[in-house]
Amino acid sequence: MNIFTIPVRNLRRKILRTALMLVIFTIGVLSMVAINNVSRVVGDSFEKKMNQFGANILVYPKADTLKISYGGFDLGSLAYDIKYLHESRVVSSINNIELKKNIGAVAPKLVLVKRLLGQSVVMVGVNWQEELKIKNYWGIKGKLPEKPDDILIGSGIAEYFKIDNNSVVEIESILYEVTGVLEETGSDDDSVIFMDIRHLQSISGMSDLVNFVEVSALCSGCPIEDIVEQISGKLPDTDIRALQNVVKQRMSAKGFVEKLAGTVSLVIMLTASCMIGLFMFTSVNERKKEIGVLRSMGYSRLNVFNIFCFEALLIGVIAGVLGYFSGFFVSFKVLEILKLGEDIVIHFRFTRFVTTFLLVTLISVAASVIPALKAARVDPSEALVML
Amino acid sequence: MLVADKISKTFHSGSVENRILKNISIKIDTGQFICVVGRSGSGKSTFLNILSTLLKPDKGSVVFEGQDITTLPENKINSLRQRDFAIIFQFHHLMPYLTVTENVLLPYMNKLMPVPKSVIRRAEECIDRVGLGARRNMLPGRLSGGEQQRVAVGRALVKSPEILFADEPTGNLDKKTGDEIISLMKNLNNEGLTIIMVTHELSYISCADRVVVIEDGIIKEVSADSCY
Repeated sequence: MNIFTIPVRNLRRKILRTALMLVIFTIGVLSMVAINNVSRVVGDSFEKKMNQFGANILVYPKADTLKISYGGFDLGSLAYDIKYLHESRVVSSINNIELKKNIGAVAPKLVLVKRLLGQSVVMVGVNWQEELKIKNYWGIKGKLPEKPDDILIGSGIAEYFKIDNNSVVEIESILYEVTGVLEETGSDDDSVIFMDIRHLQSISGMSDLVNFVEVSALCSGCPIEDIVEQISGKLPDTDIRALQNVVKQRMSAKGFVEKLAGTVSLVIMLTASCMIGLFMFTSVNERKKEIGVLRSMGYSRLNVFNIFCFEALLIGVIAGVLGYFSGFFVSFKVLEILKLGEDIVIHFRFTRFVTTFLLVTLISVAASVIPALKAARVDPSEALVML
Repeated sequence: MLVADKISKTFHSGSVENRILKNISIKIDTGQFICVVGRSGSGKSTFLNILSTLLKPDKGSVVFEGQDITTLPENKINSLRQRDFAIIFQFHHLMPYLTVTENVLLPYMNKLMPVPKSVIRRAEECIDRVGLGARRNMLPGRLSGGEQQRVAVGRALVKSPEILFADEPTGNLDKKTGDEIISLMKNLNNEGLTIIMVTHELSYISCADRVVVIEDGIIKEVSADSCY
């Protein structure tokens, strides 16, 4: 028996009210945990999907001259001082950085100018598997190339040369089958011809050489600058550029989801804490006589303050634990219903649990501070006049 | 010894002034049983509340063990209430969620440390003393009015106070149960406990050593006859 016996027994006596308070606060915590878990998964999923819409890091040979580039590609180096990267070294270096888990795709490119029907055309050699990871927005009329001498042509090329899929074209004495035509993308892709990078390297005598490498990095949990720095460390003889606008666009989209979740959580927790505050105010008003009797027995203002704060603390502790675990369960169910995050698992993290628990307890106690102060200020003589 | 000197108290209700006590003085020796009587609204309870530190007078002093308790800082008043003074109210005001034993131990339950076993033993003795030994684990709701007031007496006794203040302790009880409570208080007084009791039951004044009548804000003292 000590000072905590009083609030514990009081909560037990008013079991219905205690249960209602617990339910309200638990629902608040549950919603906060579930919203945050779901938003994190949705955000990650969103980011993954966004990363499929193009690269956000470019790796290209170091140039000493002023760069002239457009669309992320260095035109100056292509036109006058052509330098190449070694594909195998670059790709393996990028895939072995410390933050390799954040690397979504590494797509090397070899860009050459060839002749088609008497006109110069740009041929881009790509690794189909990696390319499709960053360009899954591509719409293809026909199908993807399967054989080394299959090609995919941009809509502009198809229109200019009046070529359709399943056509056979001759490029510098080699016959190629056009397996597909890209639907208009509004980008450089409309006016180039894509083929297997190995084949292009082979027919051009440029084995293992590439002009540049596009990298799609997942930026959640780390700034893109860190990834760039790590790639630079592995490839000091290259220029690496982060397409900040692309990254910022993606991060702002993800940030929006997180901010929305944060705001909703805040509103829910504020409402729940207001309810706790109201309950405590009612409790103080109802128990004025009790407070008067306690004060007449020598209980200090601090003792009375502690009794009410401890009641709120108990509510916070129980609601924190119940709310966290039920919120965890609910987030699984919500993701299941929304069919989201199939490949993303929500892990139980002890530190996150402790942080949430402490935060909820703090909010609960903070919500009861004003009512507890009111209780502590009860003048015993005034309270006892009511007796 | 408790000495009240020229105590005055006025209550204000809007622009209306109600002067309840006018320069009241009294000296109460250790071991006395004082009954304070008077008409309703005469200021008996105000007088008792001032003596027991629950209320501060507008003027005058109350000296207990050589110090003016009306000017003490709050922490000293708290320790005085906890150690030396005990109060019984008309309504028992037990905590309905605590057992008889816990209610009796309530004055000691304001600390983080658990109540010492020696105090628990003393509380059990007090419960036996007020005749509720068999009901010590019951909640107040299962006790009769008289039994609940006995628990309140036990709660007052557990700290072995110097003075017991009782504000109409029988006011909410039937005659028989009221007699039992007064008898219990008289026994405690016979053992040396100073008691100051406000009552409107004139039948109980015979058990007091002194009877104080408050009328029109001043004290008139009358003698008391023998008790039960």
